[in-house]
Amino acid sequence: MGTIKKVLFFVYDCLLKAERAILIISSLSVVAIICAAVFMRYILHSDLFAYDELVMIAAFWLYFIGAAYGSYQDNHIKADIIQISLSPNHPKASAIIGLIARGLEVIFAATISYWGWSLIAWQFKFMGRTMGLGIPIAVPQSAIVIGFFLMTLYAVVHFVKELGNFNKGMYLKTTVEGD
Amino acid sequence: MDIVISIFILIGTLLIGIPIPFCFTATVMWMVGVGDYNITSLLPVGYSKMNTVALLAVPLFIMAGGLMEKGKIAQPLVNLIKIFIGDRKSGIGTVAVIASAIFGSISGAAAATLSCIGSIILPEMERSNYPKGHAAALLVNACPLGLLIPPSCIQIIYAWISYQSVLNCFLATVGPGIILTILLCIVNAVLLRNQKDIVVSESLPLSVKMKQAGGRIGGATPALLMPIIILGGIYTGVMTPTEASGIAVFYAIPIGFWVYKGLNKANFIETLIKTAVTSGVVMCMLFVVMILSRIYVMEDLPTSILHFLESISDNRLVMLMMVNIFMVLIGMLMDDTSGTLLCTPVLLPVVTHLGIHPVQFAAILGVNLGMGLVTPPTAPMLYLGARVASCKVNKMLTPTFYMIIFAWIPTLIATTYWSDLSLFLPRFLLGVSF
Repeated sequence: MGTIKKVLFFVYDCLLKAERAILIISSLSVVAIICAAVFMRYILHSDLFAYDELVMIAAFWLYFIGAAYGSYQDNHIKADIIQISLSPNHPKASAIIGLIARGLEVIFAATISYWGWSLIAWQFKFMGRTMGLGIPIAVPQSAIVIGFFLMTLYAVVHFVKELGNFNKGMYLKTTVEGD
Repeated sequence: MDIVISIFILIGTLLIGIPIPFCFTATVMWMVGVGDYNITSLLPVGYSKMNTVALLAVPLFIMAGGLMEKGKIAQPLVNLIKIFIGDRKSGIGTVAVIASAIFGSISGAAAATLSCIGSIILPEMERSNYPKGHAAALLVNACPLGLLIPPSCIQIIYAWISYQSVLNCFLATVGPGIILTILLCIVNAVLLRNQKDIVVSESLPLSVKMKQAGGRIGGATPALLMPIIILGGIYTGVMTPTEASGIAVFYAIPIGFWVYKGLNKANFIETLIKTAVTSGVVMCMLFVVMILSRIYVMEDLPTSILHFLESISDNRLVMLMMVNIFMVLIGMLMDDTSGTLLCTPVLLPVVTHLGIHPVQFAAILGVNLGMGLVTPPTAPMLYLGARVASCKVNKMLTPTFYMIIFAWIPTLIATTYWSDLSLFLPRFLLGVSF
């Protein structure tokens, strides 16, 4: 059991490292491709052929792995007004609502991941390609599916953590900032 | 009825604290479940809408703003403005507002403006004996100027959804941005008029101030060149907004590393990851909202809203006021990007029917959502401001309400009912006729 846990933690860590690497590489690639296109157009007076296809591949990986890493950091934008207002006087009620929100998040994330999978499955079946460089459209679209699958994974992780805290009676107090 | 339930689902999931992209997912799930929609034909809508180079300006401006924030470029700007107005009671507050407006033109985002300008100017405000709540509230109310002074990320998104020129939308918000800057400075001065113990710097003759400014302008020049390169490049037609944003990142890197020396290898990589996460969060939301807005447009929600407004009043001014109230409520519940994504496809047909030009609506939307950022209960900037200033939110509430009533609302009214405020600059500078 201990070994399986260690392997799972190792895979989880590797996944995070891979995400960080993708974010750095895709960010720098987007900047480099855009600047190269500007340089070629205005200095060398020529066009960088189909640069938009290349840059959009990097962009999709940046967008969706960024969103997945945001889920890991729990950085997605929320408006948890009910939890915040209940937290000071009714911490248990606040924690229960938080738990329900986490559970629903898992369901919604899993649903959109499944939808994303159907999109990519269709792409693999018909193998559409970009007009200029003939890159399979599945390459940028894979980022959407992988991103949503990772978001589901992190939603499950947050849910399990919060459930554990709830069972131990450690209600996460979401107090208003500055108070 | 299905749409009404979907809106309740959206608000309900938002209020219990589900991340916004999944609140929209829940709403899409409901509409797909009850309507005759095939999700496999809706998903490519999200993909194809996002598959555009024009939209890349958003993550690139976010990246440029993040690098400039870490690159410590704001200090020379603050020092330069302080020479001229630091010797008045309201001086440092005015410096904070003007510096936020200028930094907004560099970063294009409210949060980056607040944390960057706040970290520099709050200690100075404390030394000058500014009440802590007032100082924090002033910075919080000034930071959305980043949404109004171009380049602005939400204006890029708005232009992209509404098929308008980004250049026109950038210019449309300048007038409201300047009015808001002036009103915030006035409200700051009025609120401080009875504060006896505020410390001001020594008053110097103009010639001495000019000499001091000459000495400091060199330090501020690389920072001031940033908006000139971006906006100059865009408005002279040399670069597209996306290309300008790429060049802004390219420019920010050496400036941050070697001129202002705020960047190093470690914080550069962390900034890349942080800005990629911010962009990812925005873009993921955009993907889902595009699917939902397609459903709403197919359900003809804009016409339903119009009929609803007409059933209450047929007076154009009243109807515009109701649209504004709706947007303020959206701004209070959501952040600026999700508000733009939701309001644009749903409300643009409504306001166009009421005789508002889409470019003017860009400015109205910008002011509304900017106000939403500082209006409780959600008010993300208010809470961020409390964290940056280490101040209790309740101490910030009274000055914030004064600023909303005497600065934000007059700006909103002027932007809504005086079309030339937002349309004059695009007409004058770009020669377009509206």
